[in-house]
Amino acid sequence: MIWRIAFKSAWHRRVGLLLTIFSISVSMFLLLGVDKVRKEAHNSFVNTISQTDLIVGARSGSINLLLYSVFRIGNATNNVSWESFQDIAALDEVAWTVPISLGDSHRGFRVMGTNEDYFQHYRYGQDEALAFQEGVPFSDLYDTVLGAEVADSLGYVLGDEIIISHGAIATEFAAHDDKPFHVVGILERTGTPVDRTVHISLEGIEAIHIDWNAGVRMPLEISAEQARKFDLEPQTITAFMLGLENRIQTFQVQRAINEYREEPLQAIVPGVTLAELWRSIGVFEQVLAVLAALVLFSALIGMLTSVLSTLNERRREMAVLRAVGAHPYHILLLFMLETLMIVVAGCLFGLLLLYVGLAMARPLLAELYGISIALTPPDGGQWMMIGVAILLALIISLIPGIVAYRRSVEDGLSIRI
Amino acid sequence: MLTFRLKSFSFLVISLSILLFVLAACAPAAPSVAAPTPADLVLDNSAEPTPENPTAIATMEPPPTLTVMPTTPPNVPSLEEAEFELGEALPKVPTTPQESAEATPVAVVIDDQGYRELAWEEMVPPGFRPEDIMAKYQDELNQMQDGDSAAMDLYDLMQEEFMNAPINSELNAQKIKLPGFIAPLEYQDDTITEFLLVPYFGACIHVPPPPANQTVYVTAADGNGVDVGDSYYPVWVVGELLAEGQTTDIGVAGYRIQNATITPYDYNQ
Amino acid sequence: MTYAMSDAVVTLSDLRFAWNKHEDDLLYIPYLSVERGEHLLLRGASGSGKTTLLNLLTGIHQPTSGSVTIIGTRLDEFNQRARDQFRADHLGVIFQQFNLLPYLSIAENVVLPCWFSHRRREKAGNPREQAKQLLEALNVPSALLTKQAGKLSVGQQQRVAVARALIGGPEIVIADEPTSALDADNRSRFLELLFREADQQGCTLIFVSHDAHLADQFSRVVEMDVINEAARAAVSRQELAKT
Repeated sequence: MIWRIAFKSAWHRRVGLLLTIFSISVSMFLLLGVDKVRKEAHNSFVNTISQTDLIVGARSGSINLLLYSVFRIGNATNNVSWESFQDIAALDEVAWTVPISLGDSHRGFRVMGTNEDYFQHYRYGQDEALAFQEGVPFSDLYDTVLGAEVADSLGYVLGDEIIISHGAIATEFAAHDDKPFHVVGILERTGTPVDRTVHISLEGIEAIHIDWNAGVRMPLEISAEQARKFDLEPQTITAFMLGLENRIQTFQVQRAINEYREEPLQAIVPGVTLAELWRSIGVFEQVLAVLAALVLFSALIGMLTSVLSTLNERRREMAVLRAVGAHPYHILLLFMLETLMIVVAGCLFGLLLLYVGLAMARPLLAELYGISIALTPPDGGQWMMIGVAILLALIISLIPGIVAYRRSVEDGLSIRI
Repeated sequence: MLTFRLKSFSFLVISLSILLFVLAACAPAAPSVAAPTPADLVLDNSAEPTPENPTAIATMEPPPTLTVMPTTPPNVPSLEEAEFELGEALPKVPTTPQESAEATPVAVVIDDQGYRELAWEEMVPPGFRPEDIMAKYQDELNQMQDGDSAAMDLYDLMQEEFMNAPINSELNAQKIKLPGFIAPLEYQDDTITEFLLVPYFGACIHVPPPPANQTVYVTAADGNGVDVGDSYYPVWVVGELLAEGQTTDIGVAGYRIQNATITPYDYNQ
Repeated sequence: MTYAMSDAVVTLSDLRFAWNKHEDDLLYIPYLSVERGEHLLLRGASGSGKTTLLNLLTGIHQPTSGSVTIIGTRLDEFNQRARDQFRADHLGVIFQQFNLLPYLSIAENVVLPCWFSHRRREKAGNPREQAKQLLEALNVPSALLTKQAGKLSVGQQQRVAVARALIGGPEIVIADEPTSALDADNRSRFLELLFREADQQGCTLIFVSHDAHLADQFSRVVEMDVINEAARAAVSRQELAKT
């Protein structure tokens, strides 16, 4: 019965309450949003690579190497020579290698040069191998295999021709338009940056750059067919992944590569570097979470302020209720129930905002950072946040509730305006 | 009409709420901040290697100083703070200096489930332990003049022997408890499910890597992984140790523990 | 004091009230008794203690000393909760104005006491029905039943308040200046309706007002400053202070 009164009372003042509800929604959106994106980002990163013992690249920074080689974020500062790659690949301890070459793009998607070993050895998630939706790995010089997202969003099918651009941004004068590539394979969706990658052979990369020098096309143009005549063994690659015969030798091999005299190289253990990455952004994540919590808190204080300011006008209401036999604790309960309704409405609306916002941000996050957001319902930790928010609101509602309680006791039936 | 009592009650409620909030905000957030980062750590002075030979790993020489050498006496240093220095190892299971022939330590700590505490030194087979190697070359060293450059070569040789020493297959199928540090390999969400266990902190950063017989490839039992936030801290790994001398069809050489239980290392034990 | 109390619905005996021990009594009534079915006018100017008396009669406050007996029950012996429940069960209250909750419909306002009192709900049988009947009898058009309080005129609001006070047949109806906000025409009509319906339900009516012109409509008039000795005492203290 008190519920009914509380609901009708709140509904009666709904216009004023809408702002309060909205501010709570926005703060819940922030709080839950930060948590969700953080968790999804972690999952995305963690699921991108598996069963790879070392990643080797030019000496820069370990996190940098991980980011550009696996997540296609950022760029390499330098390259790895083909000789060094072959030297290391020839070691007894090394079981397999996958060389990769980055630098070009196709309509916003990164182009990666590699060889057949990639399709055989690359693993993601829980030791899952790459699978083909249709088609086969590349064999001819101008073949290309597309990631699922590339094919879907650009509407490519087997047999289509695509033009590759030099550099990460597509511009007309930087297009290798004289050497189109044919789509021979499309991969299954993986939920990793692989989906957003256009794969060609290392020789293909050499071929399209044969008449380019330091990023500029030379006047002496060599046609696609003519290019075949050249020795297209790559001079350099960006980085390579490797798997060992025995994982226990990881550190020894890593050390040897780090000390390789011919060229400044670094080898990272992906799992270890990933942990370092989490460490370094961990502080940032916590700051964000605290900020979001403070935003929610200020929204609740706002709610408190607006309720306190209406207390005076509601004294009449309280006197009427007392007259019909309401106990002062009914008055307290009334305020708490109204607050409960406000904060629950705020949370629900906040959840709505969250999922709408995430749905809109999904493509952008995937494109820029390779993070795939799953629109799953809130997990245990997030429900707890909602629960704590509600609890806090109820505690805060005790303040106006108790004030109203005491006033109703003191006022009695006399309504002093 | 807010009386003093009500004002202080309000103040209490608000401060309690702030506290609850900050706690709730910190709890589900990312790994704890308290762990040391590579930047703060003290760099061991042995981190500058100068191997004579380039390229191939077969001829690679270990750096001049080897921090795995148990030069400390059985009385271990106390661990008051949680900070670890590069190359710092955990306090060892108290053992008395052993004869080369002896494979098991004198003091054996066995817990209630039949798992015994293993010392990293035991994982080096008899004959290859530092004192054994020292003993082997003792005479040669004594014969040298002061300031002889060949002494360094001899030392490098000794290092190489130590680094390439085989594993102790007598430890195979033993139920053990081993303390150490984690180098993560495989994840499931924010949990590390497979990792390499090493005796000292920072094995993959700047200090020389541990030899193969001081590395264990651990696979956690289901649901028993390590949270990535705890991966900088030492742990106890409990399980059955597999020690394969040779790579076979069914397994690779080296120490492995599968279905391991992992618990935080509490140095007040 | 031995008076015939057999038909007294309200008996006040040696009643004193002060905000706290150190202050002078606001109210001191040696004796007051109200018979069943009476229409009693308690007349007094502001400051004569009528508000305090109302609060004591309805059980909002507790007397400092003395007894308040309503329908044979010693109200002054109850705790706050019991007093509130008693009020819900046996009393109807009408204020000077703003009697109604703005966010409930007229019908809901009228049945409000039944939400707080099982006894009155049962007595009403079907509260909604009784509400309709009461409102009809009080000349409140039934079209207004679902409307909210703000849409009614003051006169209509006051009559709705009467319906609310009467629903479920409480023994006593207490009205605090209910006509002060009405104009002269509405005033007499209001009183007519109030008396008629109260008699219909068998209620005792205690009417509090400063307006002496109402006196001739009531069977019994009691002047506050006659029965409230504390008021007289306060006046004499003031006179003493002047000299």
